[in-house]
Amino acid sequence: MTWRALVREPLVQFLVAGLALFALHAQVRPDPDAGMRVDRDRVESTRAGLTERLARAPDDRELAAALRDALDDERMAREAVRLGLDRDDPIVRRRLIQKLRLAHESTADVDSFADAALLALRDAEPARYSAPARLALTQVLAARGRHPDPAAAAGELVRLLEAGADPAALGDPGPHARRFGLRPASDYAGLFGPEFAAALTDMPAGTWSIVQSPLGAHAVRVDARAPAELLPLAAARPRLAADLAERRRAEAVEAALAELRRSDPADLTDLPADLAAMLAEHDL
Amino acid sequence: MSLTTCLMGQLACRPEPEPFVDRREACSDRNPQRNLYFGDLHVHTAYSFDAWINDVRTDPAGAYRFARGEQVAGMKLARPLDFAAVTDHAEYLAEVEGCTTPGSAVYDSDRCQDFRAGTTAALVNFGLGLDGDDATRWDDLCGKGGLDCEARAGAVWKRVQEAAEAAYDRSAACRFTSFVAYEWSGSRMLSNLHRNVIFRSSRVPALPVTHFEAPTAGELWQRLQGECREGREGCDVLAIPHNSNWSNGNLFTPELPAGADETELAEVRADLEPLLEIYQHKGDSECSRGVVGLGPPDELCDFEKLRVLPFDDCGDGTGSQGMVGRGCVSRLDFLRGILLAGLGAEQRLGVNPFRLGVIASTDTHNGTPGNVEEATYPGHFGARESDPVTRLTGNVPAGARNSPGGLVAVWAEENSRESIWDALRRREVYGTSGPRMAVRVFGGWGLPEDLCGAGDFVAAADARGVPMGAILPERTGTSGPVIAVSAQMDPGSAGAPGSRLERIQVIKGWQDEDGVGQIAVIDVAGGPDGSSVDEATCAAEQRGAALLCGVWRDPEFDPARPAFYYVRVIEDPVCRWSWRDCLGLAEDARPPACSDPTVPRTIQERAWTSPIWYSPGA
Repeated sequence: MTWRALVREPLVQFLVAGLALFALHAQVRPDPDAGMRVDRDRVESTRAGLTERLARAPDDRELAAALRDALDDERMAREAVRLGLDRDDPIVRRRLIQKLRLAHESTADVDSFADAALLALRDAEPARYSAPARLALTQVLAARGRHPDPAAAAGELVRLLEAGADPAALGDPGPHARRFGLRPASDYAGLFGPEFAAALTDMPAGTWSIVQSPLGAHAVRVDARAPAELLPLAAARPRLAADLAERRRAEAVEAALAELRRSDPADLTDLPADLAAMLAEHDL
Repeated sequence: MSLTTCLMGQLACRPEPEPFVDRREACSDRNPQRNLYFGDLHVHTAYSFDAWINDVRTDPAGAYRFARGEQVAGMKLARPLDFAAVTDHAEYLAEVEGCTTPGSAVYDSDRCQDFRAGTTAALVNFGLGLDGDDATRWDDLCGKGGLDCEARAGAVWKRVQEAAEAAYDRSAACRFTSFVAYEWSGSRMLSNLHRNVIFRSSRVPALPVTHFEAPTAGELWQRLQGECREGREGCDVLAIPHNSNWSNGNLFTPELPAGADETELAEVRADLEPLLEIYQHKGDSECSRGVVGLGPPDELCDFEKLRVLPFDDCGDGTGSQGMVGRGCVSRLDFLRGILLAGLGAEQRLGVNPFRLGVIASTDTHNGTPGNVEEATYPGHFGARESDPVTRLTGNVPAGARNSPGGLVAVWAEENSRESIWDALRRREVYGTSGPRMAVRVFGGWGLPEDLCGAGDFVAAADARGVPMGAILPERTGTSGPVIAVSAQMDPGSAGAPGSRLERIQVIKGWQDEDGVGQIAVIDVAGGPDGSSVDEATCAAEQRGAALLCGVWRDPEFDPARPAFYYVRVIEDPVCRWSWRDCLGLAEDARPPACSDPTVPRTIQERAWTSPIWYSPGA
């Protein structure tokens, strides 16, 4: 049996997952007695900390007081947990959830990915890993506030441009160049507003049109279009690897949650049966 | 490169960088007349000690995803950015990793336990560990029995590079540019000296040069020179100082170590630090009415000030403790004073160390680059400031006086690392307090007076002038230079329209015949327009323009004296984030900031451009 076949064996996968969970458990579960144990290392560590803070060695009373303070903190924390005071504290809850989430994320294997896995991700979401459709255009602005009727002024611009006038000789003195290279429609939304970008969708190339924007009215001509293109693996590799790592981490958390949902199910006994059944169907 | 430039110093003689050092497809948006791109060059993530400690867990990869328009940590940009640089504090990269990784050699140490507890004391402890020229890595974390901090920092730095690489669009669409970058986080007596270090390409040093290895700015420049420019083929770098408003004059008071040559140091500084971050989360550094030497009274200087009067003017000295809101305030804490000092140095040394272009950024500590909208400001420190009361009452550093931060705008040929970095280097950039207004500035001796009539402003001005960030060419004619400005309002996004423009101002700085710095502020287009904001509802009635254009010839020009001209574009007012938060609270639940007359209820967002300089004999 090759190692590739071996790793596909369910029993092997189960054992690997079990070992990972065991390691995780050992990592995140603190030794319950450690907080109250005072050994020589702890005494010396406390002494060193005090020496740094006081800029001199502590006397015996100061050393004992520092140790007692730390032990008192531990006693208080234990008692608070015993009384359930941690349960209604949103900050404690947030930190615990965060720690568990990070611990599960750390079990995900994100060190390297086979090309096949990266290609599968790319092909599952082609829009995300494609160069978007782009268009090049020329625009001349009739700005709001500089014309009594910007749309009418843009209409006059279109008439002159269709008659062969130079775009550089017409329109209001905006900060942008008149001609733009091949850019996604979202870029034009950023430059001239979402209305402008939306109007470009079905605009035929090579003819002048009037487009409204928050800035006024524009005479616009689409000069060229480029279709969306799926990126080759080499170009998309860094992003695919980062996304796949993110996905694997999310899957590790989701797998842990699925197990928790089984072991710690919601109590639906107070709900009407049909509502309970509906919610249960949705993996509550 | 001209012989004159070369003679100014050996460093200026280095060859121009290759146009491209990274392999990538040619950008299909390439435009010789330059495109406008918006970005954020000051971004912290969970890799920064002060972000992690405040419960932020978004990493650099997450920050780049956010910049590209994806939802991260429940937030999403209405408009993606074109570029960004994650600039985590390079100091403590290893320590943060070690303190937060169960099982590491230091995970159970007292210092790491304090760190994970996230107390203010721990934040102060880590912050103070960066103060002073003698700051070193802690022995308990990086000494014997602790972490191999160099190796750990290297591994984290590698992840920073990988995140940048994954976000960088190397296809012809050129949708997004990331930069490998970090923050050098030195301070002295709690006066801020921080710089963001931005690399031109993926060729970067094996480790970031931190405050621990390079305690002073001079040593930082020397190490960047040696480990990047001279030590790694294809590597180039610039450093961008920020929050001069926190520095008590120290950030721009030149340090002269024993035996150092002042002229040589000025050349190095001018070469490596061509920009100033004028605005970000911790306020504005353009000008102040509380300091002498920044020009005549200018009420528009009362903008997003982290500190308000009373405070002492440092005069010709410097102070300390600016980072905790104390100590004197210097004219060298503000762009105007710094630029004037640069003119003085030019007269004295023959080189201007402070020929600074202008950018703005966020300094987000949420890993959310470009999240600058007043209406949706979520606070600066993650969940810790996630409700209005904590935002309005916080003290890191200034609660209601904090700002969402701004953006950097770049005029570049295309959206690639080299093109944007080169635009930063030549200062064809400007900063905004958040909005995406488009501002173009040209200067020249023979620019047509009718540039603001009909026709292509850019083509006409570009043919006979120089853009923002440049030095005027040799004088022709007998008149003063002409400054031409075109500004277009932010068009806004779906459901969030942009604000109209109130006015364009040119700010001129020069030295008079006595060598004293002078400032003049001139309205060159638009002006007060009667716009108003209903403070009961935040509804704004805006009467400004969608497009403003102004051409101004300097009528009081002295060709014997150096000068600079930068532009400020002011929007009509809107409600400030803090007042929006106040309105969302019941009147009896509003904290004192809601009735504090020194916390403004409205804001006039703006842009500040890089100057154009006149240098006699240029």
